[in-house]
Amino acid sequence: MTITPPLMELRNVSRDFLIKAGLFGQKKILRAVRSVSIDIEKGDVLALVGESGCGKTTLARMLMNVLEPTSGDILYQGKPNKDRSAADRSRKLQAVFQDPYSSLNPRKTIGSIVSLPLWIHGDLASAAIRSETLKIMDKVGLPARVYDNYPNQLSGGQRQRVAIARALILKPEIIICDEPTSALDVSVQSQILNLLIDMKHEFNLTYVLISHNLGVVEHLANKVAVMYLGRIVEMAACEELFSSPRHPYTKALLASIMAPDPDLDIPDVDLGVAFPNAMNPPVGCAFHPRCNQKMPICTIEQPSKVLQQERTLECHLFGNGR
Amino acid sequence: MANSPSAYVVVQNLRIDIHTSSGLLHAVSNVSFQLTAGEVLCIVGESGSGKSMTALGLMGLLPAAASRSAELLSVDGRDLLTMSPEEKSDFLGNRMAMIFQEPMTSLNPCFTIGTQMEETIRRHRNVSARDAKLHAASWLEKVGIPSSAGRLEQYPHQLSGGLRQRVMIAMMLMCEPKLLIADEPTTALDVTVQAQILQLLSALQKELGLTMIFITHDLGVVSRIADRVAVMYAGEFVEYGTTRQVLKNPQHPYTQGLLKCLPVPGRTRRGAHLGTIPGSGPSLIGNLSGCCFANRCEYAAPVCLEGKLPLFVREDEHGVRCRFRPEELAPLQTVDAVPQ
Repeated sequence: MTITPPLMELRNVSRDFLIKAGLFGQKKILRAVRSVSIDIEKGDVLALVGESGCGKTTLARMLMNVLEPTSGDILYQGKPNKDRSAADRSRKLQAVFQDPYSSLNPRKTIGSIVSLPLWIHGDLASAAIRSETLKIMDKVGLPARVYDNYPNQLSGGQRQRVAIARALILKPEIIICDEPTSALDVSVQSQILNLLIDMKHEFNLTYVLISHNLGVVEHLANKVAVMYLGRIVEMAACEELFSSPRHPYTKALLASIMAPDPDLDIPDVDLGVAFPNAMNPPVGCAFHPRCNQKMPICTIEQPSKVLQQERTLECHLFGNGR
Repeated sequence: MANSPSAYVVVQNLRIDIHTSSGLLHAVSNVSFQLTAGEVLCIVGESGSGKSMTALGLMGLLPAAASRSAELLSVDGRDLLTMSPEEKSDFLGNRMAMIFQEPMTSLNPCFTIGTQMEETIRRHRNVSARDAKLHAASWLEKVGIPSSAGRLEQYPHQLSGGLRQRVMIAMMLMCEPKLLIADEPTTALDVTVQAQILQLLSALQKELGLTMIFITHDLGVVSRIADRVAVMYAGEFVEYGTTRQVLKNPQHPYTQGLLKCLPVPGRTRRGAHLGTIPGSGPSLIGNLSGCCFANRCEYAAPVCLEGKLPLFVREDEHGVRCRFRPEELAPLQTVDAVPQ
C-alpha cells in the first residue's frame, strides 16, 4: 500500500519581514509566521482563525506562492511548491479575496474578468472560452446578461460571485478564501456561504478559509487552526475544537461568540487588555501577558508543540504529558 | 404615541433627505421612538439602511447635502430643532456624546491622547490644567487602561485598536453626558476585544445611568446589550420592541429572514444551507409606495404595494411595519440540508 501524500503540506514554515524603523533606524525583524506545520487533505475545509495581525494572511499568501517562506517547505502532492511552474500552480490553486470592490478591475467587463484565466492558460479557442465563461457564471448564479457589464453595475454579493467564478474557471483543486464574506451584509453573506458549500460539492474542492467570524468558521470548516502572533496555538477537527477548546486563547475566542439570544449576557472573555507587539513579542509564550492561567514557566520558555489525540497544542498547561 | 413625561429622548417623525445628483434620497423616513433615562436602544440594519444617518441626525452632525426635519426632537427636555449653534456646542459633549466606529479616524494623530482628553474637559468645565490631567488619568483607569500616567503622553498610533476605542469612550464620558450614541463602536475590533469593549460600555452605562443608542449590524451584539431594538430597513423602522419581543418573537418577515441567515455555532446544522433574503434593497431616491420590503419578501401580496404603511402596534407596544400577522403569512419554507 502506498501512502498518498496530503494535497498540501506545510513543514515548519516561517516568514520574517524586515521593517525599517525610521530614516536612520536599524532594520527590525517582524516574525509574521513562525514554524507552522499543517497537512491539508483533499476535501478539507481548513479554517485559519485569530486576531488581525496574527499572520493568517501571510500564511495564505505563502500558500499562493505570492510570498516565499523564509524557512521551511510547502509541498504540493509531495513535491516542493517552488519547483512547480507558475502556470501549474495557478491551475491548482486560486483565491477569493475579502473586498469585491478592490479585487475586480473596474475597467474590465465581467466576462473578461471571469474568462481571463482561460485566455492566459490558452487551452481553448475563443468561442469555447465564451461558452465556458457563461457556464461557470451560471453555476455561481450570475445571469448571462451581466457578461458585458462592469463591476460598478453589480451589488457587493454579485461581485463576490464574480470573484468566485473567476477562481473556479480553471477547475482548481484548492481555493483560498480570505475573509470571503466580511465585507458583505448578513443577508448576502448567507447567499455566498451557500454558494461556497454548493461549489465544494460540485467541484470536489478543498478550501483554506480565513475568517474572524467564528460562526462562519464553524459552519464551513472541518479543521481549524487557531493562530496567535504567528504561531498555531491549537489545531483540531472543527467539532472537537468547538466542543472542547483547550488552549486559553481558543477558549477566549469561542467565549466571545455572541449568538442572538437575549437570555445570555455579554461574555466574559477574561483576557488582559495588553495587546502584543509583533515587532517585540513577549518572551516565553506569546500569549502570557493576556492569559488567565499564566504560570511562572510561561514567561520564560516558549511551549513546545504537543500532540493530543489528533490535536496539536502549544501551551505549557498541556506540555510533558500533563 | 403619547409623550410620557419620563421620556428622556423623544423622536417624532424624524426625516432625513439627502440631495444627490440623481434626485432627493430619502435616507430616513418617519422614525419615531422614545427612551426613558437609562434605557439602551439598539438600531440594527444592513449597510445603507439609514442607521448611521439617524444617529448623525440626532446629533445634528449631518453632511451639508442632507436636511433634517422632525415633528419633535428632544433630549433631556431640550428641543434640539430650535437650539442655537452656541447652545448646541455646549449641549453636545456635555449632555449627549457620540462614539464612532473607527477610533483611529476620530482621534487626532498629531496630539497625545492626554492633550486631546484635557482639551475635551477644559472645553466644558472650568478646571485648571493640573486638574484636567488628573481627571483624564482617572478616566483612563476607569476604562481599564492601567499605568495611565505614561499612557497620557502616548500618541494614538502607539495604541492598539481596543485601547484606542477605550480612550474614545473615556473621552466621551469624561464630561458625564447622559445620552451616549455609539455608532458601530466594536465593528473594527477583533472578537475578543469586542466582548471586552461591550462589557466596559455596559458596565459604565449601568454605573452612570446612561441612556444609550447603540447602532450595529450584529444581532448577537444586540441581544446582549439592548433593552429595546429597532430593526431598520430602507430608512424606516420595520420592527420595534423590547429585545425579547423582537428577537424571540420576530413579526416582520425581514427580521425573521435576518435571523435565519446567521450561522450560529451549536444551532445551525454544519454545512447545511442557510436562509437567504434574495434580491437587494429598493432605491431610496424618489417616492416609494407600499411596503419597502415587498420586492424581497417571500410572502408579498399585491396589497403590499399599496399606500404607505404605518408601524402597526401589536401586543405591548411591539410595532411592526407589515400588514400581516406572522400566523397570516404562508408557512415558512423549510431549509434544505446538503449532506456533508
